[in-house]
Amino acid sequence: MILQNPYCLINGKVIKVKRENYNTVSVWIRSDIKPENGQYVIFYGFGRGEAPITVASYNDGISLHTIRIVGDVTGYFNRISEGDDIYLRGPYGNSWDLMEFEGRQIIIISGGLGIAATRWLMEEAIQNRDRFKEVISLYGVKSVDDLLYREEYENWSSKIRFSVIVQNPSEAWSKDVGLITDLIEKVKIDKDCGVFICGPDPMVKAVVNQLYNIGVDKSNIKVSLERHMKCSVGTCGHCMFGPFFVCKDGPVFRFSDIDHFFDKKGV
Amino acid sequence: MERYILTIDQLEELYSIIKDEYKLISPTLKDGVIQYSQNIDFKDLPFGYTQMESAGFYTVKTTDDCYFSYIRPYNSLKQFLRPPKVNFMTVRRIDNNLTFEYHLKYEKYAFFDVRRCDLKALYILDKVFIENKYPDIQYKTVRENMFIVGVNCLKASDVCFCESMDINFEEGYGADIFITEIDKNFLVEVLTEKGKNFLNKIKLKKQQSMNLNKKEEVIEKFKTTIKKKLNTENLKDILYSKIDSPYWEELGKRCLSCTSCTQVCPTCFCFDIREENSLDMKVSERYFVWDSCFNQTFATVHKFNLREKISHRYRQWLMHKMAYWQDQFGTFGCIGCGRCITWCPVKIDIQIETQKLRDL
Repeated sequence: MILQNPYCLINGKVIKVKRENYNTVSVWIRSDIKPENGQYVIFYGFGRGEAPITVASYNDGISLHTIRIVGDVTGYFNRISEGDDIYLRGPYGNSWDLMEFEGRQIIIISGGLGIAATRWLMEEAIQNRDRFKEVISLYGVKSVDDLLYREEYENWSSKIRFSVIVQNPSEAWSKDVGLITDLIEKVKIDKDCGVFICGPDPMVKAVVNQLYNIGVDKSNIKVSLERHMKCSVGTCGHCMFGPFFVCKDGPVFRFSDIDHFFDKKGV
Repeated sequence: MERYILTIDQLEELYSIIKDEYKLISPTLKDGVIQYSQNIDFKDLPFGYTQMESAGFYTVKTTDDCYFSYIRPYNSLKQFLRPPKVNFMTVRRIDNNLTFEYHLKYEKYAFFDVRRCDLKALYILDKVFIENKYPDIQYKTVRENMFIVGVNCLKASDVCFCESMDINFEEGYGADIFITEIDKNFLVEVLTEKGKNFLNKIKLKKQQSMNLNKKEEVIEKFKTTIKKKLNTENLKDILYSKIDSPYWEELGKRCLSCTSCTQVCPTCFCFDIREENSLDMKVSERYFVWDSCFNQTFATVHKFNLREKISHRYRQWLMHKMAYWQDQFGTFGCIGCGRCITWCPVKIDIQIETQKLRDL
């Protein structure tokens, strides 16, 4: 048997680059990867190393990735432009399962860069809008400068209930100001709804508590976690979270499965 | 199963036959410690030596009871199966195109004198690197091409607690042949076809039935020398309920986060991927290097360290070995070899601490 080397990189082509804001870029890449909704890929930057990046959307061989420039590898995306070659491997991890909640109310909650992991989910929900009772998508950011995918809001708002809330007041923002939990308070939530969350850990914690208090079962809450998925094949140990390898057991978890470990600091 | 009795001379003959065919790794006394080393002469096996080990303490002394008088070496098989630094890939940049060269360098290893704890450790590492959706080619190739001579321990050290960690003394754990020293002779049990081929190369007599009882006696006598015990009943659930215990803070104050334990641990598998670039930025060598959950940047996401306190890191390590591992791979991650106890500079003893946590 010839074994596939899990570290083999494949070639992709940058189709389009869009500067989202002061620290984030979106890139559209044509490659042979066949991702599922919720999975991620590993990008390689020559001499810099690798970084796990979620698939924010996928259509016909072209995947969208939204990357915050923080480290050495992601810094590579600061200089990328249309037509460049790019190297990647994957896709890795499990996926969102929207259809588990067919016929019910769907609530998608995104915080900050977390919307990159829920964008494709939102698109899938919009495409299959008639298979759900209601689709609500709530998005919270710290400041108005952090907003991503601004050009899509009008389109999304016309098809599902999509609202944005900004934490820091600004002259440039005339809509809701506050935390994502304030936005959730304004929504009538069915107890049997299906919830999908991606955002910083403290936000996830606050949202889950709020929903739990309303009566939403924790097994109906799905969370996409972020850890440092380095090898992505379940052997390097960096993404370990309690007994889970986020790279292969996740990144999507049913909250009831991780409840015991989630609010413990340093797990 | 075929069984033979070998004299010390015949054992030497077997040793040299294995050495002719494989890159042989065996224990020897070097730099003051008994360690696995390459290309050791039979006369340089540490026969007649033994280690005295306890928390933060190690010394070697002579003894004249028997040949296999020592316990497992300070280093383990992972040193050879998954070396500290492996160049797995070379990336070259020519104009603006990258070419990738994937390396698969492996040796045909034989290990002479592997104790049951270390054999169990291999069985555990197999679950990590081979029984995986994406098997590790390097590890798998070395593993499939190696030859293992297991040896039954005669005496435990003060840090050994293998019996508590589900070590089965009836099990061969993948060894090709297994040796038990009985009254200065050697009972050799052949467990695989590979092992059989080697034994056929030397002139031997089949053993009589009395020796089997003697083997049991040796093992039972060994067990009586194990002083350390850990109650592992329900251990996972008990530890899961202690995840919030203030005792972790106490441990965090003592632990130096020096990574010593994870380096000597035969089952610690975590690694990092590092890049080493040429100055002209035309070539980038990519390496697997041993990493440790005690390293400060180990759990860093977006430059934010999720386990910033040493207590978090110690908890991660102990919980992984004793609890998480069971959910991940169906076994303990600890095999009770006691290496982490011996080599801890501040004498933290995983058996004592685990027992304390469960009794809290």
